[in-house]
Amino acid sequence: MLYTAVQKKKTKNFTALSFIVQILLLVPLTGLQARDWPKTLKDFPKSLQTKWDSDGTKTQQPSWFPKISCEAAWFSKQPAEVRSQKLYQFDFEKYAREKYLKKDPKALGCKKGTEEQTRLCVLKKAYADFNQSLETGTSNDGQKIPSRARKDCYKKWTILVAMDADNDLHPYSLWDIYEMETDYSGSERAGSTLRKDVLIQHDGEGNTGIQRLHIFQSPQEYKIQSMDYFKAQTIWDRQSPLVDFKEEGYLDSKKARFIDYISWGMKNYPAEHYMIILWGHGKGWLVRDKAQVSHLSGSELANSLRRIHEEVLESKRPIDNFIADACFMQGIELATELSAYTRFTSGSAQVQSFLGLPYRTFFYELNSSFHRLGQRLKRQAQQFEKKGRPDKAKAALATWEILKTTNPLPSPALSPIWSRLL
Amino acid sequence: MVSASLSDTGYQGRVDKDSDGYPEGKDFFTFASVDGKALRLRLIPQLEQLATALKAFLLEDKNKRFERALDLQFAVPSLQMFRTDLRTRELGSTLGKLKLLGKSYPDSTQASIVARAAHEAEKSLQEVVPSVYFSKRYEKYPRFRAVGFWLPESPEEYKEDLPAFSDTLFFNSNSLKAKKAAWTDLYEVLFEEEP
Repeated sequence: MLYTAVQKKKTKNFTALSFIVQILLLVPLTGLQARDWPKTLKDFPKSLQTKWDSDGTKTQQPSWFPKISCEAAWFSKQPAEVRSQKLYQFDFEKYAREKYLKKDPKALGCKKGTEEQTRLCVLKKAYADFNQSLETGTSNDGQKIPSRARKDCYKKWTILVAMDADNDLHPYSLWDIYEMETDYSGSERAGSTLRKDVLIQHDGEGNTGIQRLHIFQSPQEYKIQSMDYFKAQTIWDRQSPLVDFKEEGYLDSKKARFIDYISWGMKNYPAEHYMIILWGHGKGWLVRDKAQVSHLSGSELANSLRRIHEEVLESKRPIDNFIADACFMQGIELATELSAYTRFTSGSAQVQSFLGLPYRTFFYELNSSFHRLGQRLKRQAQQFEKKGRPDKAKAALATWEILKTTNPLPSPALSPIWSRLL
Repeated sequence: MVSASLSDTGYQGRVDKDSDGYPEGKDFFTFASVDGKALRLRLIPQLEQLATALKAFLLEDKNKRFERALDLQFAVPSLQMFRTDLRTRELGSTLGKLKLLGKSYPDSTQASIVARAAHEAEKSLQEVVPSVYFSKRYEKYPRFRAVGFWLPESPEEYKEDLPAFSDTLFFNSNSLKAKKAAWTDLYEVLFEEEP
C-alpha cells in the first residue's frame, strides 16, 4: 500500500524529483557510455528519440484530443503589447475578492445555499472569468475575438498533482502549494504558463471537502515562512483559483477519486505530455498495518493507471511520467506494475522529509531550464567544432533538436546524452 | 540543483530545518526515474536469468545446497537496506555484490555464471534508470541506483511477506518460459528449510 490518509508513523515522503534537475547536473553517465557518438538524430538510440517511444513508433493521441495547440489558438492572436503583459499571473485580489466576493451572488448566477457553497460558487465564477481572459484572443484594435476553450486546444505539458493531505501532512501541502504559486521576483516561472498547466486536487485535514486548484503565479511575494505560518492557514489562503470542488466523501474510495481527478484533468487540460504526481504518505508495495484501511495499495494504483491508460487515453499512448512524492515508492515491483502504462516512473526508495520535493526549485527549473540549456548546447556545439570534434558538435545539436520537441520539459531519457556532453 | 536545494544552506535545506516533519529525511533522500519500456524489455529478462543462475548455483552441489543458501541469507543484512520496516534492498548495490560471487566460490562454475548474469543486469539497470539522485550517505555504494526490491533474509521473513508479493508481475514474470517463474522458483529454493 502506498498512500494512506491515516498514517500514524511519521514517514512522509519527501522526495525530490525533478528529473530536470537531475538531468541538469547530477546524473551519472549511463547508457551512451559505451557507444560511439551518434552522427545524426536518426542514429540516436531509439529509446532516446523524439516522443520517447523505445520502439520508435510515433505517439498517437486519443480520439478526443484537440487538433490545435493553445499557443497557436491563443497567443498568435494577441498583439505584442498584450503578449508582453503578465497573462499567467492570477491576481486573487482582482479576480476574487474585489471583483466577485463583494458582488451579489445572485447576479453572478449562484443559487441559494450555505455561505460556504455560495463562496465556492463565486470563486468558480472568478476562475471562469480569469480563464476566459486567457482563452480569448485580442485583435489589433483591442477587440476581444472568440477563441478556443482550454479543453479544445492542447499544451505541451499538463502536470496533475493529487494531494492526499487529510492527515498530519496538511500544513506541508499548503507549504508546497505556496512554493508552487508565489512570485519569482516578477518573472513568470511559477505555476501554469502558455505551455503547461499545473493542477492540484487537494484533500485537506478535516471535513473540508476536496478542492481542485489551477496553479498560477500570484503577485504574492515569496518569503521563507515558518511551519507555524502554515499550521495557522487553510487551503483558502492559497492564491491560485479554485476550478472545482467536491464534497468530502465524494465517490466511495481513494482509487475512484484518483481516477476521476486524473480523467478530468487530462480531458479538460489536454497536453502532449502528462505528468502525474501522487503526493502523500507512502509505504511502497507492502504494508503490514492492517488497521490502515484507508489507502491506495500498489495493485490499486497500478489498476488505476491501467484504467486511465485504457479508458481516457484509449490505449493510444502511455502516461509520460508518474511521480510518487511519497516514501518508499521506488521499487522494482511497483515500477514493473506501472511500466505498461507509464513511460517513466519516478520516486524515492527511501523515507523523505514531510516537505517532499523541492517544488520551488522544481517549478523554476521547469520554466527556465529549457532556453538556458538550448543556449548551452549551441555554445558547446560551436566549441566542439572549433576543437575539431564535429561528431560531438552534431550530437549537441541533435540533442537540442530532440529537446525542442519536449519543450519545456526535457525528457529524462536524454540525461545520459546531456551528462556526457556537458 | 536538487543537491544544492537540499544542502544545509540550500533553499529546502533551510526551510526543512524549521519544519517538524522529519527534517532528517533529506539525509536519507533518494530519487530515481525508471524507464518503463526498458525495464520490461531488458532488465526484467536479465534479472530472470540472474535468478535462474542463482538457483543453479544453490543446486550445483547437493551436499552444499543448504550451506550455500545460508551463506546467501547471511549476506543479505550486509546489503544496503532502506530505512524502512519493509524488507527491501537496493538493487544496484546488490548486483554489485553478486558480481563478486565468483571470487568467493572459485571452484564453482555456477558462481561465475551468476557473476556474469549480475554484470549484464547491472549494465541494463544503468540504462533503465536514466536519472538518479541520492544523498551523500549512499556515495559509498558505487553501483547505487536507488531502486528497491524485495529480498528477505530468512525463511520466516519470506513466509511473512510472500502473500503480499506472490501476485506481483515481477515475482511472476516468466519471459524465459520456464516451468516456474524465475524469482518464485529461486526464493522457494533459497528459503527452503533444511529437513
